[in-house]
Amino acid sequence: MAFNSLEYFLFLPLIWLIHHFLGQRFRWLFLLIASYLFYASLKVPYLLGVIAIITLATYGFGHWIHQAKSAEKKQRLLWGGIATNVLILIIMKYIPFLTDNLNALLSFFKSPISLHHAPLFVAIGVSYYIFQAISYLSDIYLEIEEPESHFGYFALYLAFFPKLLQGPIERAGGLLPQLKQKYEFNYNDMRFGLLLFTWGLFKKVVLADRLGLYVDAVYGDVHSYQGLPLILATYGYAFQIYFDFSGYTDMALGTARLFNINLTNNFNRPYLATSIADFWRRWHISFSRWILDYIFKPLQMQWRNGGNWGTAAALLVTFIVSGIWHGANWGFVTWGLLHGLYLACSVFYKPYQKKIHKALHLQKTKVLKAWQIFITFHLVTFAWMFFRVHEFSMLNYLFNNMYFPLNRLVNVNYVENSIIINHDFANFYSLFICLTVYMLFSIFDLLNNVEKFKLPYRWSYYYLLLFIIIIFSKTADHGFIYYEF
Amino acid sequence: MVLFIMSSKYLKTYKCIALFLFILFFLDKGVAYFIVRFSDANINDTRIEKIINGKLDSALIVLGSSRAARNVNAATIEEYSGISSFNLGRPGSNLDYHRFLLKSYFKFCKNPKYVLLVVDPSIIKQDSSLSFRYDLIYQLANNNYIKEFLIEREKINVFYSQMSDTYLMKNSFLETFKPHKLILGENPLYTVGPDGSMNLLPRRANRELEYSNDQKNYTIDDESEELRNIFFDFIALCKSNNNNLVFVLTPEYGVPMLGLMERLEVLTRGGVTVLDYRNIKKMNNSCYYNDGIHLNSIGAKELSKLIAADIKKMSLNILDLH
Repeated sequence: MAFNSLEYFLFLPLIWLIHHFLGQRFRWLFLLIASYLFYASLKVPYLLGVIAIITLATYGFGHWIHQAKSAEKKQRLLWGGIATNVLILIIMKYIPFLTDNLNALLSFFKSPISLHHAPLFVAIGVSYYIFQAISYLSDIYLEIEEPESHFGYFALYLAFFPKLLQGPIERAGGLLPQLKQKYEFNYNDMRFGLLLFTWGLFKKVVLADRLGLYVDAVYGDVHSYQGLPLILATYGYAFQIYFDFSGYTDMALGTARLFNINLTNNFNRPYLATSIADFWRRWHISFSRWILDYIFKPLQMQWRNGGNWGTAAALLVTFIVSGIWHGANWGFVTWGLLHGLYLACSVFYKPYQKKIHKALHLQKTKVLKAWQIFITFHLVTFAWMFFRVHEFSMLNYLFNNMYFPLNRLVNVNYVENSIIINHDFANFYSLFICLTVYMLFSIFDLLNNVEKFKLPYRWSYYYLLLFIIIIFSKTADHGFIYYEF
Repeated sequence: MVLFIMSSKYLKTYKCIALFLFILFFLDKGVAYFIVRFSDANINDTRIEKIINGKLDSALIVLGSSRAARNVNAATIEEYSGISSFNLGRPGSNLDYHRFLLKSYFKFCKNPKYVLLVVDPSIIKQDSSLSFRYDLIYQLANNNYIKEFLIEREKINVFYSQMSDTYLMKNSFLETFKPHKLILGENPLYTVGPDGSMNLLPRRANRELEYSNDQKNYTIDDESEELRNIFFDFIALCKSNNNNLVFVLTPEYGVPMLGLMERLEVLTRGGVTVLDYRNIKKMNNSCYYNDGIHLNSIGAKELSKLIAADIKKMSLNILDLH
């Protein structure tokens, strides 16, 4: 069940109530059962089998690594554990992609051999908890963490339902202690949790889904459009994916807060980043920290003799892996490669960039910051095109047809038909109002400041948010974008 | 357990939640009331409301898309045939919508003697310019009949619609809240006359219309099975209600499509009267047309006189088909 579904709105209060009145001794078991029931609600039975195998294998490998006497044996067990998890991930997500590409290669070389097209498995959540499992094993190997002795808590660490389907990717050191902590009802936690959940719901069902209507209308029939609509749809997608994913994250964090659990905040105003590196410190934070700690740093260490070239190569590989993680598609790989290239290039030009800024007396000025935000946003948005559009012929059309003469902007009909697709005035006005509301709420940081208000104003804010969701939410369901990963 | 629940530690929380929900309940009703009033004040097409309130009792109803709304003048049919007539045509509406109107009419109003369906060439094809006009029925979501229909079509959620009146009426608000309309006023193209017709004003004299010699042929490859089934259902509904179903092909300022008439005969097995006005010499005058397929108000009246005459002949059982 999705966080924005009716089933979840009934599931969550029920689970919370039972959890609230249950004794401390059985809370972990109840939450674990609830998490598996939540996963089972996807109606894909083999996923329960997958998580069970991952849990058992990772728990076992964790203890063996810890008990291993020699460094060599520790390393072998670590690789064994990682290989087990990665193998399951490959089977779940990448076999069809690999076979299709192998077949293409074989036919290119005119080989008579042809591989059977493999079935595609539903792999919702698998990428996330496998990465969690790998981080757990790595932390034990590096002696940052000790293996969890209680199997139930460990299973809950992997399966905790607020973060099960789309993260955040939690470290054992952060989540396990919280799961073991004694639960005590905290009114402020409950209030903030519900508020955060509602805010996330607003971002998802109002902003993301309504932007999706526009983006899908244009990208779904791309050859019917030229110029401004293509540009607006591209920007629209950049915001759609942000609202969709950050909305989910807020709902996950809000849900967890009801149980006194603080999950990692995955977003920190990513489109205000002043560089690509800064962007990755603000976007999908738990994932970017994971790839930094477990892929980039080891590679950089390995290739340290290469100096800047070693670092650049490490970044490139890291982000190609990031692209592959997101999906079995050349579009995702290209997206990852682009980000890798952006960061790899920055390794070389950053020293010169600093000198130029110093020479021009631009350092720490608002003009420079605005320029950097502008450039970064456009680099990121350009990369998102590969994320959204997987056919290169369509990308080719987009690149060739985004141009339009600026004097067309004075043509009211042209602008109107570009902004309001399929005469969907309802969507246009809804978006206009709700984006304005979002901007105002964000500028005044109402989410964090509202608790300082007096009760009537606080409740007015709550009611306003609720009614905006009720009135402006899209009727038909739009799934979560990051479910696919 | 009860003592545990009622302990002072949680009492404040329960009181807060209860008060919050209590106020929410009344706010919900208030907002929904505002939406209904707002929508009522800004809606110009009240025909569906008249249907479900049983306020229509015409013996002849016209259904169809823009070809019905623009090309037929129900008042003229009434004047020249003596049969009370009402036009339910709406631009951009598809056969599924026409069937919905028909069913609703049968349910709430007096059974009409004649049902005129103005046929689009794409009547049983997926045409992006024709769709079910949900935007016209959302304003009546608080009516049980409409509400059940919207639930059946999964346009609203049954649980949410029970819990929140605002949710029930939200689509009405979204369809009505169009600031540009509120400022500039309703587009005259969508004004509905007292007879239900939406005829167009004559074009400006300097806009010359060219006769189209482009010969089109009807093809069955792109017919939609779903719409074909709705088509058969439409015919069956009229048959079961003992209505005289008449298909009308309105004039075009161009060469008529080949094969359409024959296809209609095959689909209806000759069991439905078809009034084909596409080749009528009298209507072959550009001053009657707003564009190649839509008549202006003058043309609509002329066509409606012809329709009235044919309907009158039908009623006397001496119809001589064109």
